[in-house]
Amino acid sequence: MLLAGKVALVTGGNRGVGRGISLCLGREGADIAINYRQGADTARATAGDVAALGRNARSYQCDVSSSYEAVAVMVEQVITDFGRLDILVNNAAIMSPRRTLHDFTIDDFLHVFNTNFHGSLYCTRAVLPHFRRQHGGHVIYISSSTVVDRPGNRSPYVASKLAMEGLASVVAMEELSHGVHVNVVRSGPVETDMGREVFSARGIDDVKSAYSIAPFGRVTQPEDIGNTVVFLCSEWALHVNNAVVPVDAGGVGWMPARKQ
Amino acid sequence: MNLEGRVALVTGGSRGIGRGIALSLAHAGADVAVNYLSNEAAAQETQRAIEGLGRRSRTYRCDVASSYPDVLAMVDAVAADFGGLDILVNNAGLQAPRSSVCDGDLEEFRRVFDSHFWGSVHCSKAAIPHLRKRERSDIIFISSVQVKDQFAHRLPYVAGKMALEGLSSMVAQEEIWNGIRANVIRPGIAESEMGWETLKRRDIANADDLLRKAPFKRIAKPEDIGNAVVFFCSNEGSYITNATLTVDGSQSSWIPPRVGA
Repeated sequence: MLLAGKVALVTGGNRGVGRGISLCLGREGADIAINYRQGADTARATAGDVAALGRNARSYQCDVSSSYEAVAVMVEQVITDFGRLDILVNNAAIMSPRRTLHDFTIDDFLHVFNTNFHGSLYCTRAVLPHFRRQHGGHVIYISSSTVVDRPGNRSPYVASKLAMEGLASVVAMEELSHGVHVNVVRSGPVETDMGREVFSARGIDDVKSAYSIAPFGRVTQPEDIGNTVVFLCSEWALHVNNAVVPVDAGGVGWMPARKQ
Repeated sequence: MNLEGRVALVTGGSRGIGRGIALSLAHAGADVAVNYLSNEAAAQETQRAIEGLGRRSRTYRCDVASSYPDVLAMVDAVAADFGGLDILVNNAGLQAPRSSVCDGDLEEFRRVFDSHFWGSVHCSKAAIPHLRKRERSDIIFISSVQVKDQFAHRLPYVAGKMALEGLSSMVAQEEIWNGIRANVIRPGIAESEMGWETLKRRDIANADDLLRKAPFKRIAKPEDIGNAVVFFCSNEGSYITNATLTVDGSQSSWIPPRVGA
């Protein structure tokens, strides 16, 4: 096991990619604090599945974009409950509706942007004093291959993920002397509820039917992202810092073109 | 490169790089609306300089970062005053505080971030309906070379500019059928209050000495950035959209980085 005795906090860790990350970290020996905004039942289920791997798991309800104070209270509670914290995975995010900037209301734009960017900022800020005290820790940011691809009609999503990658890079430089690792995983579309919408926008309504044309015989799974997070937080990646790792099987070139 | 008959709005156009952009656009023949946040005297000086070049100009006070209704009112007023709008230059932005994510003031982060990112969201959104009415129109986003250098202790500046570049690509693709070009310029350190402040923060004791030894014997002038804006907006640049142009005289190769983290 690569992460025995470690404690990880995964934001949005109850469903989709976050659930995959929670399970992979748990499989490698880490105890998991599962943050969720809504869906107490899915959070309970994921915590149960992590516990079945023989780990400690608890779930924490908190909208990480709501306020820094709320996030700081959650992080302190995690440290009290588990006795330590080694890994923060900034995964919580919402997808933007398909709409041009011209058609977005400012409030809808703000909502997507804040959840994805300010949520990561607040969580990062709340764990850093703790990581500095213990002279170590890992901060992982789950970004998206859309920052390269940059399709139209999702401007708050793309802008928020780019801002988050900027945050990652700045924090990586600032915390160099404090032993903190900071890395980005850039996920392609994954077979989750959120991902299905992205496949659908490219004319793939039945994701399973796309396995035959996808690289390596299937589309990206939550565990593919989780395994990369495990690697980045392990001793094997001691000198991997301020890096961006794409996990997208080489990009979206195999998919049909996006419908306009 | 002739912009006669076209109307431009430059945010933060009263001083520094924004003033250079406003004057370059006027040199090329455009009428220029000058947005400013606080320094009325500087804005009026820029207006007079534009009028001295034989172009129409007016000043518009508006905090582009904070209120969309205010921005909408300003942009509509510009279009009414000048008879439409052809060019928007998203230039306004505040200098970032020097503080780490761990120790910095979250409210100050937000204020600076909003000036770079939300100002551009508000202005672009307000301008697009006017820009769509033209056969050809342009939005220029002023980013920074710091997007690739990503210095520590400059979170809201770096993150704000990265988000702004994302916004530019999205708008470029969304509005391509409506004749709107969207492009990014990444200036290096320029001769402006903000530029000198940045040099000072790099612990460069003798700036004159540095510039004497510099490859082109100087740092960037605001007009260098302005000329790139004019090019993108001109007939000569009419097939370019969703592009990024760095105008920094390769500064990272000869301006020493800040010492220490």
